[in-house]
Amino acid sequence: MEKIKKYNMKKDLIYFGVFLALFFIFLKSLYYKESILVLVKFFSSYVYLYFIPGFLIMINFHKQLDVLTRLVLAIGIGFSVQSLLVYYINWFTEIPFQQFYLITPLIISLIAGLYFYKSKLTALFKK
Amino acid sequence: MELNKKLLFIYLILFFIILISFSSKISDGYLSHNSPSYFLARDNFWGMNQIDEITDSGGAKWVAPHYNYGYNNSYHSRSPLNIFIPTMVTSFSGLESYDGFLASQLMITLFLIFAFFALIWNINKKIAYFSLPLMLFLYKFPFNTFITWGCQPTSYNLFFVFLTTIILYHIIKNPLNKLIIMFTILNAVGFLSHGREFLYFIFFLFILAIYLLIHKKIKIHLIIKILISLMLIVPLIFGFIPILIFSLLSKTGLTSTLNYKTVGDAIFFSDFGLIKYILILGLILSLFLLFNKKYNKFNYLTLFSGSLLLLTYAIYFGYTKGALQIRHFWPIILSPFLGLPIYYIYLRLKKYRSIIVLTICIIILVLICVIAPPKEVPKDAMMTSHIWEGVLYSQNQLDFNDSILVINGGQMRFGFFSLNKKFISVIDIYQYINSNGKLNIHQDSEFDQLKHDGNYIYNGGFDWVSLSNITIPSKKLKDFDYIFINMYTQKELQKYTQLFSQELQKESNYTKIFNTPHIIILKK
Repeated sequence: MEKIKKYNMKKDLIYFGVFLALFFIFLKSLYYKESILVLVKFFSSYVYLYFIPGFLIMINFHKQLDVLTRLVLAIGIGFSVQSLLVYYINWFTEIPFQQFYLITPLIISLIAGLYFYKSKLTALFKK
Repeated sequence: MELNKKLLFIYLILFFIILISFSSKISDGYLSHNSPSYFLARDNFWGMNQIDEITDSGGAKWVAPHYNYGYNNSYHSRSPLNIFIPTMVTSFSGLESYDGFLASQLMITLFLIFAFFALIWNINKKIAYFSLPLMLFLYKFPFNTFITWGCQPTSYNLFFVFLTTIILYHIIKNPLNKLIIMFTILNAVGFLSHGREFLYFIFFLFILAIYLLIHKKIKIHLIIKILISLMLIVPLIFGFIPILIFSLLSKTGLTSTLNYKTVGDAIFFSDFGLIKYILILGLILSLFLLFNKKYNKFNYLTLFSGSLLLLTYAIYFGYTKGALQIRHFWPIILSPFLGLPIYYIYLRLKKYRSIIVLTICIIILVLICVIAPPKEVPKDAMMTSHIWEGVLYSQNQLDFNDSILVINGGQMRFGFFSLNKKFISVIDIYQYINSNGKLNIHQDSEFDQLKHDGNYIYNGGFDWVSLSNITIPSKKLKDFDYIFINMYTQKELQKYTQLFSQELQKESNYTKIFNTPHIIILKK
């Protein structure tokens, strides 16, 4: 816990990049006969729908957790927030999920990112 | 003292390569297939069917009418989120539901390993590294049946349980942090994925609270905070609460079709081979640490893994339904008990300890690979492309109100024909073979129509009716519009299915409209 005093965004991004690379290597090795386009689409579905929103939410917890823990939690949090949001939007509005599930990761990421930079933004607005 | 970095790197790379090699036993190198592949039991078909249901109805609240005898006010009775996650992946990537389902099952194994590794890592990094080899057993028979037979909801919720356990560890360490929000969300989603494992987590929480109170490591206000967080789950799962209450009251639905007893009976401690002795040693060591007066961080893991291990033996106390399902995940849950003895060797050694223990780990990895590699999983043991063609034909060419009699047999007597989205009856041909070895089916034989899997019809207010309580009249053989004969049966049954097909065409007014080596479809 003591080690995580100064936040290093670059380190987080490197870890995230390595994780994505390993994930893709895993996919490519498992489905080595599959066309690259199909693989990229499958890979992107996880990255866009779950990993990026989860990663951006978890950077807000950089003071409490180390980078590896945040990374693994990012997967679960991505799964959770995205699926919970889509489930309830559909539940309340009865709009088919196909019409909005591609926008929700963007909204989640935007809110998580803005929250992370809120102190900087507040200072900017004060100026 | 840190571990030798070069050797550690080699060890991790080797682990990753073996992981890929083991997991590839459930893959033919292709992500997309012409028919469901590596589906070895009915629950997997049920899983892909759920993806189709959610895709067709646009959400996990209502079920599309063609899955429920035409009712358009019927509710999904199953936990929604475990299937919503692969559904979105399937929709995004454009894969068929069966491919998306199987691929996401394989992905969740990877995430489970990663999550549990992170859990051990938070407690002791070295034990985390030393625990890795056992996790490879996840891809070996019989543990891998959770992928091919279908324990999909359990695997998802277990993933969330692992993550909440990590968060809980940090909350106990630092009660002031904001992670409690994550704790609530993950628990809620876990519950919406599969309630049972959430209850296991509560069991672990209870044991942990007693342990920490004895060691004075937790204050009452933190327990209250955790309890409040658990109560806050209720508003997050409210969409599922009516279903939960109704299903618990009616005691119908919500039961999985998987034969747990068979699965559970097939998984024993001895399935770990020689490693089981190291695991037993690890268990003894961890119990020694647990009952030692001095508090040890590792006990957190012992309590977690121990409570889940204990639950898998709840079968002897009358709890049979879900207890055995967790045994599929023993390779992950019990991995700290492999890491602990190796860690003790590490502590006892004075010289070259890093090199020696990492070499031991590498030897274990190699031994697992050489002595007990996983066997190739059969790709089309239950479903072939020929059968699938027939299923697609009946889905696309037949009307919704057409009635179909499906003649199954042997290992094929599973209900995946509900994929036809029609009114169907499924019979096992061997039930109609009499003691003289002759088929006992005639024109007036009556067959029950297949019940759909326990969804509920909602008529407003508190008026919920379980679909399984609705009476659907049985049909006589002569009244069916189509007969779907599955020839991909056990060899001894094939002559009966062929005979039956010939008799129908000869004596009744049925004509053959579809014919593949495994499927014949007859039309009246």
